[in-house]
Amino acid sequence: MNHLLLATGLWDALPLPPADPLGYPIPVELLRALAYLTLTLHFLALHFTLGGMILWLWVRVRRPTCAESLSRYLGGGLTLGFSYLVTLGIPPLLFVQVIYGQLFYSSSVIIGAHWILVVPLLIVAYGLLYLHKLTRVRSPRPQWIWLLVALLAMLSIGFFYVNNFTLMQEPDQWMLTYAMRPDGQSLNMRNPTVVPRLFTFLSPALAVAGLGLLLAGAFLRGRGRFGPDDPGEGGPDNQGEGGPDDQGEGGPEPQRRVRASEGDGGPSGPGRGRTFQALGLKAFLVSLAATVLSGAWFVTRIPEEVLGRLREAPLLVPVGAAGVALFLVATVLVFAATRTRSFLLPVLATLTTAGGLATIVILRDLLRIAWLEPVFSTGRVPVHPQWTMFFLFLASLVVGLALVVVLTTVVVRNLLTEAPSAR
Amino acid sequence: MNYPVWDVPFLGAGMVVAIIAIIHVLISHFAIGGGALLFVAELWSDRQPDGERIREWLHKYATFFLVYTTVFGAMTGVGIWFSIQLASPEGTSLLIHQFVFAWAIEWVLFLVELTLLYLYYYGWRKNSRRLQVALAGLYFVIAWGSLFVINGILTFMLTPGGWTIENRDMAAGFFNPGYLPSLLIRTLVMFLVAGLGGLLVAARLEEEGGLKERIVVFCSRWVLPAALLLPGLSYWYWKTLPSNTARLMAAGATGLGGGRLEVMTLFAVAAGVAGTLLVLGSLLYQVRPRALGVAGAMALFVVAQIGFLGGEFARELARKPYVIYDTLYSNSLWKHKAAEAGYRQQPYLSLTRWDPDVVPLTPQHGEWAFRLQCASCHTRSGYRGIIPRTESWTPLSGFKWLETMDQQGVPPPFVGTAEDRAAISSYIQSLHGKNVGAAEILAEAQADGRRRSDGGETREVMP
Repeated sequence: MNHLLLATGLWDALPLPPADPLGYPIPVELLRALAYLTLTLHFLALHFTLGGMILWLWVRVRRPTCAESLSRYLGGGLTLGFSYLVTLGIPPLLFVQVIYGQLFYSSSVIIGAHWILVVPLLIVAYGLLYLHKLTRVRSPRPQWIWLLVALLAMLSIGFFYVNNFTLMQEPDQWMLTYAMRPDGQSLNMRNPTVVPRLFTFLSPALAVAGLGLLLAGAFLRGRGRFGPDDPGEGGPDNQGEGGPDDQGEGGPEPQRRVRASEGDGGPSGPGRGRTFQALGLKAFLVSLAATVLSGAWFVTRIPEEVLGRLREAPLLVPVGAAGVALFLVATVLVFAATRTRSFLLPVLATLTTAGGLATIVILRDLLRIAWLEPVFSTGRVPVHPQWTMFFLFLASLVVGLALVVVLTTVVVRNLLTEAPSAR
Repeated sequence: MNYPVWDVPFLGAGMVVAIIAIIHVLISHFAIGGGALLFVAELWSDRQPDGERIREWLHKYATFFLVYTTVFGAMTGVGIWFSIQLASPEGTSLLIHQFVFAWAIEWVLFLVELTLLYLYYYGWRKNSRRLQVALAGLYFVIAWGSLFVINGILTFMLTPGGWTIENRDMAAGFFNPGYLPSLLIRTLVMFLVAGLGGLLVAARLEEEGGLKERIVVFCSRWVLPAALLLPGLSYWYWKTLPSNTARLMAAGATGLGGGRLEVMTLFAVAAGVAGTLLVLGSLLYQVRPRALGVAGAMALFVVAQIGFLGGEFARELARKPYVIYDTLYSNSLWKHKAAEAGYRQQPYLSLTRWDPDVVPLTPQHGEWAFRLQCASCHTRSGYRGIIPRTESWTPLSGFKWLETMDQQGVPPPFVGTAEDRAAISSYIQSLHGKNVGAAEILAEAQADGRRRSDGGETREVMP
C-alpha cells in the first residue's frame, strides 16, 4: 500500500496535519530519551501489576504450597502497582504527544469512542483492585471475580492502546476508517501486527512479577517474615497486608478462621522464601519464552517494506544485541538468585530485566520511525528551545525522587521493625 | 481544521470533556485541601485530651481520602487528557507544546504527592507522630504545588496575557492576568471542600463525650475563609476577564442578550448560589453540630458538585468563541489564518482534507462541512443541538446567517464559499425533515442578491 502511494505521489493527498507551529521544545533526541526512560518505568509497573494479578489468580486456582502467603503478598501490591503504572504512564503519553502529536491525535479521534473507554475501564479496574483489597478479610465474596474483571479491563485497555498506536503509523488508513464511522467507533483491525504486538508487550508481565517474588523470597529467607504484621504461613491469616485499611471500623479486626490446610503446618519463613523463589523462577522463564515467541510472531507480521526500512536503522543491531544480552544475563541472574538469600542477585536481575525492557521500548520506536518514514520525519519539525523549563523539570525530578527515596526508606524501615507502634 | 472531528451523537465531544472534568475538579480540590486538613487535624489532635479518638476519625477520613482521590481523582485526571485531545486536538497540541515541561513538573509533583500519601497512610501504625505530621504537611505543600502549576495552564486558555503564537512567551502566558485571583480562589475552595469531606466522615460518628460536636465544628470552620474572601476574589477575577466575555456574561444577566448566552450566566449564578448554600449549611452545623447527619453531609457534597459544575461550565463558556483566547477558535480555526485575505473564502473541505472527496452541493457536502466546521461544538439534537437552534430558519435565512455568524459573539467566523453555506443550510433543513437542495438554495440566494442590488442595497450577500 505504501509503495503504491509513494509511486503515485498520493502521500500529498493524505489528511496528515502539519506539525504544531510551536515545534519541539528541546531537540527530539532528548525528547525520545525522556520517552524511553519513562515508558520503561511505566512498563515495569504495568508488568508487575498485571503479572501479579495473573499469578494471584493462578495461585487461587492451583493452590500450591504457601498459597496463602503467596496470595497475600501478590494481592498486597496490586493497588500500589496500579497506581504507579497509571502515574508513570503519564509522561510517555506527554512526550509522544510532543513528538508525534499530529499522528497521535488523528488516530485517537478516529477510534475516539474506544479510546475514551480507557478512562472508565481504568476506574473499574482500579476500583475493583481496592474492593479486592478492602473486602479481602471481612467478606466471604469470591475475590477472584473482582480480580478477573479488573484483569479483563486492563487487557481491554492494552488492546485499545495497541490499536491507537498502530493506527497512528498508518495515515493511509485514516480517511477510509474515519469516513465509515466519524463517531469514533472504528478499530484498527486491518493492521496485521495488532494482536501479536499486544501479546509481545504483555508477555513480560509474569517475568516482572516473578522478579518481585524473587525479591520477596530472598527477604523471607533472610528475615523469616515480612514484618511484625506478617503472620507467616502457620499463623492466623487475619492481618491483611499490613495496612490500616484492614482494621475495620477502627475497632478490633473481625477474626476469620483459617482452614487447617491453609494455615497449620506451613513451611517456615526460609521455606516460604524458597517457595517464592521457585515460583518466581518459573514465572520468569514462562514469560521470557512467551515474549520470544510472540516477538517472533510480531516480526513476521510486519510488512516487508517496513522491515526493509527498519533494517537500515543504525541503532537496530546494537539495541537488539543489547536486548538479547540483557535478557540472557537476567536469566542467569534469576537462576542464581533462587539459590541464595542475598538481595544483590534479584536486584541485579531486576535491573538487567529493566534494561532489556528498555531495549524493547527503543526497538518499538525504531519500528515506528521506519513505518512512518515515507510520510513523517521528526527532522522536519523546528526546534524552539525551552531550556530553562527543561532544567527546571530535571531539577524537580531529581529533588522529587530524592525525597521519595529518603522518606520511603524511613517508612519501610518503620514498617519492618519489630518494635511496637510509635503512635 | 487540521484534525478530524469526533462526532459524538447527542452528547458532543465537549460534553464528554465536561462530564469527566466536573467530577475531576471537585476531587482534585479535595485532594489538595484534604492534605491541609490532615496536617492541621494531626496537630489539633495532639492538643486534645482524646487525641487518639480524633485520630481514629482522621484515619477514616484518610481512608476515604485515599480511595476517593486516587481511584476517581487520578483516573479522571488522566481522563481529562484523553477527552481534550479528542474534543480539541489542535488546542491540546498547542497547550502540550507550549507547556510540556510545566506539565512534566506537575507530574513529578503528583508522583511525589502520591508517594507521600501512601507513606502517610500505610505507615499509620508504625510512623512516629512527628513523621506523620511532617508527611501530612509535606503532602499538602507538594499537592498545592501541583495546583500552582496547572493553574497557569488553565488560566492561560482564557486570559493568555502577553503571550502570542509568535512570541511564545511562556512566562507571560503562565503568569497571566487571571493567574493570581484564580489561584487564590481555588485555594480557598479546596479548603472548603476539605471541610465538607470531613463533615461527611464525621456524620457517621457516634455521639460520645462531645467528640462528634468538636470534629463537626472543626470541619465546618474550613468553610470560613471561602465565605469571607470569595466575593472579593471573584470580583478581582471578573476584572481580569476579556472584555467580550464580561460583556456576554453581563448581557446574559440583564437579559439584553436575548437569551443567547443565558446558559453561561445561569451556570455562573448556579456556582454563586451553591457557594452561598455551602457557607450557610456549614455555619448551621457550626452552631448546631449535633444536627449533622449523613444525609445533610451528603447534600452539602452534592451542592458542592453543582457549584463546581456551574463554575467550570461558566469558565469554559467564557472562552467562546475561542478555545485558546484570541488565538484558536473553538472549532480549531486559527485566528491569524482567518484574518488572512482570501483565506475564509476558500472551499472549506479543501482546507480540512478530512472529507471522503464529496461532490459539491450534494447532501454529503453539507453533512461533512457541518461535521468538520460545526460539530466540535454542536450536536444535531442533543447538547447545543442545532435542530432546536434553527427552528425558525428558512433555507435562505440559514444561508445568510452563516456568513455573519461571528457577529453574534459566540460562533467563530465562517470559513468557506457560498456553496459551502448553501450545502450546510440544506443539510440543516434536512435535519428538520425538509428536502431543499443546496443548488436550489444557492440559486435563491443569487436571485435575492440581485433583487437587493436592484433595490439599491449596497450590502452584497454573495462573495
